Amino acid sequence: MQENTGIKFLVLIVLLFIAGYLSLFFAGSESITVSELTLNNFIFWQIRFPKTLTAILAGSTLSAAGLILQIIFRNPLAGPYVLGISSGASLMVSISILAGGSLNLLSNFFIGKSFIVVSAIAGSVLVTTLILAISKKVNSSVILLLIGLMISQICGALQAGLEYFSDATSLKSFVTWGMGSLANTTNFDLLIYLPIALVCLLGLLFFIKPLNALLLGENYSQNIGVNFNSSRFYLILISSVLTGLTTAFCGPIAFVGIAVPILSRMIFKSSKQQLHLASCLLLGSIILLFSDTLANTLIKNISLPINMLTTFIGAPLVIYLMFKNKSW
Amino acid sequence: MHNSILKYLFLGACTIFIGCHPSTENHHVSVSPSKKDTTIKYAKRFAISKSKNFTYIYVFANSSNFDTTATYLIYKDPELIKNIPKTIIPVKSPCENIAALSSIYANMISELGLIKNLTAIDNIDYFNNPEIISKHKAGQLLELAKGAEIDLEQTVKLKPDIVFTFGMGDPKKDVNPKLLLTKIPIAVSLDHKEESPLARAEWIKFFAAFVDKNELADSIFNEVEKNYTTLKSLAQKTEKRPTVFTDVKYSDSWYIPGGKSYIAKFFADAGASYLWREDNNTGSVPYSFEQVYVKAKDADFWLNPSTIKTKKELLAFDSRYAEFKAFNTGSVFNNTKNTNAKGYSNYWETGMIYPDRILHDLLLIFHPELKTEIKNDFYYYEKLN
Amino acid sequence: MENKLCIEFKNITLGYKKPGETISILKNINLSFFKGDLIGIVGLNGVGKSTLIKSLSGLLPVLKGEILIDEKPISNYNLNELAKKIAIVLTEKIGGFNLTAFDVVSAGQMPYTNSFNKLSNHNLEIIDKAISICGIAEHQNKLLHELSDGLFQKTIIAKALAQQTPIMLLDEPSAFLDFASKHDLFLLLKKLTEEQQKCVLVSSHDLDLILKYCTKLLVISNTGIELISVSEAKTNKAFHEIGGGFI
Repeated sequence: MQENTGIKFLVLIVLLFIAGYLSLFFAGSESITVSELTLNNFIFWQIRFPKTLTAILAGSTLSAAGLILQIIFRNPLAGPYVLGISSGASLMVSISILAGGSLNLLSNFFIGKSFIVVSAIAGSVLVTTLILAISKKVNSSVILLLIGLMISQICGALQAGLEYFSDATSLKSFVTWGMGSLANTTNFDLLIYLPIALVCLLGLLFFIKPLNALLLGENYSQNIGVNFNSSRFYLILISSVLTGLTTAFCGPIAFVGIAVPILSRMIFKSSKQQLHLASCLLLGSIILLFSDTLANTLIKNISLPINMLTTFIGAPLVIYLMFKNKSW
Repeated sequence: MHNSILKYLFLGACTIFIGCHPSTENHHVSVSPSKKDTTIKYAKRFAISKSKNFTYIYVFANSSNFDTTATYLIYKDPELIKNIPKTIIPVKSPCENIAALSSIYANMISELGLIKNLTAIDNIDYFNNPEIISKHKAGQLLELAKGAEIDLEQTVKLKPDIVFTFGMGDPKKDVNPKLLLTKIPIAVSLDHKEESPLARAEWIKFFAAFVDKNELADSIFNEVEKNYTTLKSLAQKTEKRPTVFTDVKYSDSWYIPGGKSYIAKFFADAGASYLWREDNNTGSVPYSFEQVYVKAKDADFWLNPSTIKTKKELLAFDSRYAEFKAFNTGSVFNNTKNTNAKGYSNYWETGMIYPDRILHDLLLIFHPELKTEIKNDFYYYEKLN
Repeated sequence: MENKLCIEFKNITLGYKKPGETISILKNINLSFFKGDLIGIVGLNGVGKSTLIKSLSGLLPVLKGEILIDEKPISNYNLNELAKKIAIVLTEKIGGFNLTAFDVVSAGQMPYTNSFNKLSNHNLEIIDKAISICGIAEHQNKLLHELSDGLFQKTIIAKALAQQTPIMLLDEPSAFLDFASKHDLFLLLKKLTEEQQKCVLVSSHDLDLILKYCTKLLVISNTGIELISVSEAKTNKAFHEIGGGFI
């Protein structure tokens, strides 16, 4: 069993390198070869590199957030999107872009970006808090998920309202942003994105016991010495920061948060959450890197929206695997 | 020229057609549409035919044949239109209560001297025209399209003699069916489908036909045509053809106008080399930042970066814009010289009527050596600092 | 042999708080339980057996009074210390996430592992022992949903064993077991109290098993709560009522 795990991880790491290589050198208007790479190749360092790093960060943060949510709600159908958290973050980004525009905050890069990131995280945390508060009154996970879906619908409707009344330029902005993109970040953006993501992901290392204990439910986890309420609080906080952060930089990216943890549990039969955390980071990155490559190479000179790839490749795959393998 | 002959033939055919169908004929109607009072030189999507009692306005479905999507009949005496076919849209003249649902059309009405008859617009936010703004402030102008849909009830209450709007050309498809039921005459303009600036500007004659101002429209357009062609030949005589690209990216989608678009025509007439001139699209195509960068990084000029007015703003959206040569040589220009409080410039309002002014600005940008021969002030454009 | 005082209830009122109201289930209870006691909790449904167990384990805060474990109030224990004192077995079902029986049992050792939850050889020994004592060795690698109700219950009991606590609380553990296994369970509990001097409280509707194996009875009824020895059971009025005249 142990050996198997090691080999699987090795395979994933190799896949990560391959996917990263493809994304860096092929996913764009032209392919670059390693030998012709120089330090002042603008396309490589300012366009490809941030895009690839963003793919890795987005894949890691969203799948970690999904893993946490599935553990907290003890349900594989949980994820940042289905619980309305992404929608809350998206709505706040739209509002902050409008507000920032009229308050003239957006003309300074750092202030403008930070404003948007903080708003996205705030939206994320707000929805998550709402869901948590409701979860104290509601015992069933299924009902909670339905409520999350409703919240997602409400946020979507409010967003549609904003779009309805906005001018052509803002509308274009919302619509393209809503399609999700890994290529919207510059190296400057990464100076904000990377550290926050790393802090959150590394912070999860302090929660390995709670992540494992929470699988047993509130009563048993409390009995074996894990503070259920406080662990749940911090874990949900981390997952909403992760979701809000990525949504702020990439727009809403569908499917990754819910599917990657499920895939991880199908590949690795262990119930050790520390293992799944590591594999989710790898799997999430690999999936987004390959999606990015496909998005840029499927049709010549056209760059497809990333959500098309993640949804069309991922969703059927998970449905197929879930039918094949009865236990999740 | 070729087009004009075909149009005459078409109108002649219409006569025969109408004449040969007794069911559509009314012995009160006497039509001789082959007599045309206006000559349409550039526009391909409309034609006008005048007779003693009527003016026919035809709007064509495409620019390659004469299938009409709408036919309007301007009449004075209601008795004469009792038996016209249902496919023709009757409009009673004179139109004294005019709703113009676009800042372009409202300004055309204004240029035709009929602001006093303008009773409704789409949304005051888009306007720079001071007369229209003060008329709205005085409460004499309704806004009928503040959202994406037209306000039905207000429109019905207003009972305009004519509503000008835009669409695909067929009122039955473009307009809310309930509005059609009210029998309020709605004219759908296809000016935005024209492929050249002069063709689009010529649509002032379309609007003029509804309000009986054909002579004024003709004289306005003739002046525009004269200025435009003069400027165009000035441009063609210059030697350099500087390269140019437009717009900004939204997320990772940079919508680049096609080689057959309206703006591409402007660039060609202005003696510039539009980087996507070989593309066959009339609309815009979304490219990724990288794809645009590869092609445009060494372009001489960058025009129309959305609503952005300063280089600092541009950089705040994406620091990589600094890599473009046009950015570094201070050659970024935007048509934001005159903007209202909401940030909308008057480029669209008057530029579509006076494309010569736009062409003038472009010449000033692309060929500064012509400073000695043309006015040195920009009408619409300003340099980004 | 002197039995050491293990658990003390001092003027306890148990219940739970709902928004806007407080519901007391059991009022003004004073009880003492000792090491080596195997106490059967009996009472009709809804009388407060589960509430008692949850309050004792610290899952439900008491409304009034104090519970002392080893002469120290529960509130003075941190969560990890409490985890090494009390292990619970409830009837709730858990599963999914690739959890195997082994995983559940090893959770019992969580209070003793480092923050990365690495299982040392010592931890593994204890887990294996708990598994074999409960007789689930050949099923330990099965996923939880693959286990029968009885095996699942044994798994949870094995977890409680692996937790190595001086106190064990079991809420209707015999509910899903077959006849022989029910006896096996009570025999095991008796062994644990005799050999390891654990203090075990077990609630059950199987009154004959309680009478056969337990040393004391905690009888909960509408009139109150009484701690009696097994020999007094047959003459106890409340117990008689619970038995419905059949015992």
